[in-house]
Amino acid sequence: MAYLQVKDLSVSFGGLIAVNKVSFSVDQGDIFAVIGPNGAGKTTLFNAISGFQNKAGVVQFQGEDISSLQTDQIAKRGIVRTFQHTTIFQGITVKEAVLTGTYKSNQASIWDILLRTKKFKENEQRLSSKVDQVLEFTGITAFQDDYGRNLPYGAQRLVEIAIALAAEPVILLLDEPAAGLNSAEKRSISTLIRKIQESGVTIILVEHDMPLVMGLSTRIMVVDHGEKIAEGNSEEIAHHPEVIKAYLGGAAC
Amino acid sequence: MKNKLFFLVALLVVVVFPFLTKSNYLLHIGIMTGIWIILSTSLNLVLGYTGQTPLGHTAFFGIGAFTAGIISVRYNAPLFVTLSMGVVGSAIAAYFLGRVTLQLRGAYFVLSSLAFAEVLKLVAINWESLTGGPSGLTGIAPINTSIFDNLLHPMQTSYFLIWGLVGLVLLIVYRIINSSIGRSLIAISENEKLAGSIGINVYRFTIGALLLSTGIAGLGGAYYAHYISFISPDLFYMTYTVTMLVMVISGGRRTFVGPIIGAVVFTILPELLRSAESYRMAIYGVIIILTITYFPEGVFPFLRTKLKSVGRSQ
Repeated sequence: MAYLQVKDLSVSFGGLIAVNKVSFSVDQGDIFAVIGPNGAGKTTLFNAISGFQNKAGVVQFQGEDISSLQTDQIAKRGIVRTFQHTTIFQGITVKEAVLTGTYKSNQASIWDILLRTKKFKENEQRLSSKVDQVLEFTGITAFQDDYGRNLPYGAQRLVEIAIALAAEPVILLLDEPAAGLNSAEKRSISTLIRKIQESGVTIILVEHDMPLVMGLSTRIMVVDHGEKIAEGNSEEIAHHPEVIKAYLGGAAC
Repeated sequence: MKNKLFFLVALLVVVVFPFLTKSNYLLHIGIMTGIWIILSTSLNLVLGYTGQTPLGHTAFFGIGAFTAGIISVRYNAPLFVTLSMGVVGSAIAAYFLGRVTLQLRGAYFVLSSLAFAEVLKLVAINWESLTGGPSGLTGIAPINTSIFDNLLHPMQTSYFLIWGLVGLVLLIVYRIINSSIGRSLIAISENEKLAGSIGINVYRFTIGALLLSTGIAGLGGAYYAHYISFISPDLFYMTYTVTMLVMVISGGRRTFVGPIIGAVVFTILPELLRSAESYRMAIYGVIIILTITYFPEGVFPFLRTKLKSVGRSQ
């Protein structure tokens, strides 16, 4: 049984069909990439999986139908996403932002909080050391006391991933993590994605940077005009005629 | 360490003050300061921690006051019952309002909240048999606990009761905002989408903050009704909300201390400016504009950063 199974997923905005009956499955431990031209429906697909978007079709996680769940309930099952346009908490420090990300593993009840019990203190300590780990893992310890809005763009993208990692994902959906980065930053984000995979997290990736996708992905799915046109490993995708047509236009064929 | 020192000094001032003065006027200002601290702290929970701007926040001050007042007048219920009912009454009203208006965002929330207070004002004016109508509700039992009669005179009793309530409210709010709950609320006010994506149930936290906030405002209202022992539909007037907004915004929203400073300053300042009474709203307007222009985060965060950088350069 597939880890995450998507069956006949469709999203339409009024009369416009953004995603049309897309089916695919992701195995545990994979890096599964979704590629396609701008406007192909990749981000809409992400929104649908992570509960931000009403949809038709079925999304199953470990056999459980999660299609009708709210975003926060999906996140509670360990399916955590990042956003295409950098989305972080601007007005708090990096450390606070990542600490906020640990929300799911908070174990203190309202009474622990009001009475400041031993459990509350232990819990705060545990979360704080979790934050230190995540900061170190993503390589942004140096920025921990800076405010989100003051960070350089590349660091903001890392903070975004750090917040998601603090939420202890089992499946991490990365929406164009390398968009707008320079080549050195791209290399380091590629290394980071690999490291996240090696730590046992399944990754679904939307990305435009072909070398990055080809280098990382276990499987690749290609969508165009809301429809799935191909799926395979990087070798198969690179030589797929439909893909070449969609990406490079008819002239290249 | 420094925080502890500040806290102890503040505590000392609050406790010693009523014994240093025999003036009922000064005690009255002390009591009003306490009420306004409760109200500004209450507003800060919504304004600072959910990112919503409730232009009708005084509605919950008014509901608390009328709930306590009506119960006191009709059933002659003891103080702890009327105060609790003020809290509960406000929170229940907020729950039903929140279920509708929290689906709304930004300007729509602002307007619906403003409309709520305006509707309640009309209800309070027109439902004379319940609220006393435009002339208000009189005969609310004043605060006096006979246990302390030999030790304290009534004004002192009122003073210590409000500051006891202030202490309780501040303790609860401080602990809530410095916890995963406070962090989640900040996350929601910063970025709702991202908050949801890390597992935070936006609606549950927002309505929770609203209930806590309005319960606190209701407590302030209930106390006020007993302290003044007369209430009128004026409590629903926008001037009350604006005063709370000035306190929170100028002091520093989303900080614990900011709204307290704001409340202290803007309770005492108008007393010093009594002769300029009719210009009060105009002066408040200017203060809001200046604060937003020069200290957009509020005065307290500004001072905090200044103090820190002075400390570092030495």
